[in-house]
Amino acid sequence: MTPTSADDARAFVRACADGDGDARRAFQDEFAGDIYDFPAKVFGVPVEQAADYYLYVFEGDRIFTRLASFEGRNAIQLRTFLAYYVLRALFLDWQRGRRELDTVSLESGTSPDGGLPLSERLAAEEREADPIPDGAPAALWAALEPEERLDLKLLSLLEHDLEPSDLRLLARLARRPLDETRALVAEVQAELCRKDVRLGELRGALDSTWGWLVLRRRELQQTDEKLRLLGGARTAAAERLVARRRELEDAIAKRTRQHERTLDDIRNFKVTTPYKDIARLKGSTVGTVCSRIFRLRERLEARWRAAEGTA
Amino acid sequence: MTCPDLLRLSQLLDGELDANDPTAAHVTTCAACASRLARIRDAERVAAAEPRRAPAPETAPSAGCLTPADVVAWLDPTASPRERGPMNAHLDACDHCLGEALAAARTMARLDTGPSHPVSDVLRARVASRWPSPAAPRSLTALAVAVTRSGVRLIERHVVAPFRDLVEFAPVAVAVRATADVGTLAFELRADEARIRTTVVPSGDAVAVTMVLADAAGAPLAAQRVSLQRHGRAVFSAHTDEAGQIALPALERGVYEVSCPGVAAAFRLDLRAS
Repeated sequence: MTPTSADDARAFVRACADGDGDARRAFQDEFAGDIYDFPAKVFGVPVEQAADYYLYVFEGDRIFTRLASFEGRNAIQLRTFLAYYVLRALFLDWQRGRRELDTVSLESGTSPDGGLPLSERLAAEEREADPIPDGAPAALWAALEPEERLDLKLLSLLEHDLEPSDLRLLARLARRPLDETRALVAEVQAELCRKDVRLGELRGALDSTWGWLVLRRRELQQTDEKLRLLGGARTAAAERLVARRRELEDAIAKRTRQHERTLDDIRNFKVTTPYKDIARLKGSTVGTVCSRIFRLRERLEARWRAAEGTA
Repeated sequence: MTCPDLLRLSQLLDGELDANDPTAAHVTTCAACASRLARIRDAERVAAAEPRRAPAPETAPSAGCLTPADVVAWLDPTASPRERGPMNAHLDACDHCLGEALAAARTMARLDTGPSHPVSDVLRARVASRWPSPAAPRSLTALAVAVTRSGVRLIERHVVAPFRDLVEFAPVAVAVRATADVGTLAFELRADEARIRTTVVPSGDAVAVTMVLADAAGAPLAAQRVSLQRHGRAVFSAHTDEAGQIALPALERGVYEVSCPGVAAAFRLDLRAS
């Protein structure tokens, strides 16, 4: 069921809230995937907990009660409302309930951080990463002009969420309305996300190839050891081992080449925003973007060198 | 090659140089350039950490702020510029509403990224089991089978579209257990596009049901989903094999709804004890 008009969408939501079994089943058919994926995709919670969240939102008709306040006009708006105003609120409630349970555990005094939004987890990881001189980030950041800060954020749009002031500045620079600017940023971000997913897949492939290589190398060692123990005897068993050894060597060589190719692909993979996209966002040219980023790095390098000198 | 200037290093960092540009190769052999590149990366990483360490403070809504319906309409790509125009004017001045709209957009972007995980039929059925069952459609083909410990017999038939015919086959003795005295019921439901041959065999307290899906010409229909519901709850779902065949699990006696969505057909199978 995909409501296409305002009346359809609202009637559909009303029917769900009123307990209409058919409407609820249609709702489940339409949005089951979004609900199930929500904790993992939006808050980075392990996917093993998705079923718990799924049951929680439907328990006691929580989702339908919250959805009842929907006043949008079509299925697109319904999906946005569901995700941002309903599923997000229910996720926070669900997490609060779980944290209360977590605190009674005597096994561990820490609460899981799986529920933190991506940006907060990144910040936590930054704090745990290489030590940064006190005040250095704030000083470096403060020394930048607003447009330079925007350039830095645009360059790593995958990691940075634009603040309202950033979006307004971008709209002003490109002389575009806010909604168009936002849509364009979303388009660029979506492409970067796709690249990031591809990078994740490459890393997964690298791990799996490496695991395979470790196992086969171990088997090769064991085969060598058995052949050594046979002491050069020309028995059928020895011939089988020699044949197996040859097979293993060929397979290992092939997989090693595959591993190196994947490693190269990963090394060459960039998830920074392409200059042409930054130029499109800013209504500028690739040359201008290239030179602005170069000058920004020049300033950052000089300040960083000065900070290192005084540290 | 002489050491590249910062402009080229900067382009190298962002993957903006041609694949055959010598800068990348140079950096792998020149310690000074490698160290300069590392320093630029460090400076950038440290500076970029600041907005995440100290995010902008949240702002409170005011009386004229956008409603959730306005926010979702502003994000709707199908909304007209006229619809969004007044909202643009408000968002240009209101950090709270623009922050809310951007957060909602981020949520949708994350939800649309990466592979989705399938929701199991069991989980769906568990949730749906709390809702009122759908009224039984009156036009569904219904077949009632009398099941005894020793045999089966079709006692009622009500064939409606998409099926147009039901052909019963002569019983064939099938020995499910060597000691059991069993009979077999085999019938074929025929629609314009498909045929569903069903074999019902009592097996102790349970009933074994096997189905074969074929097209109108009799060619097997492989990989067709067949689902079984009881009291409105999904109890089984699987695909036919290459021969178009599927063996349902041992069924308790009762009423089942069998759906074959790939051939747009469903029928009710009433396996009643007699």
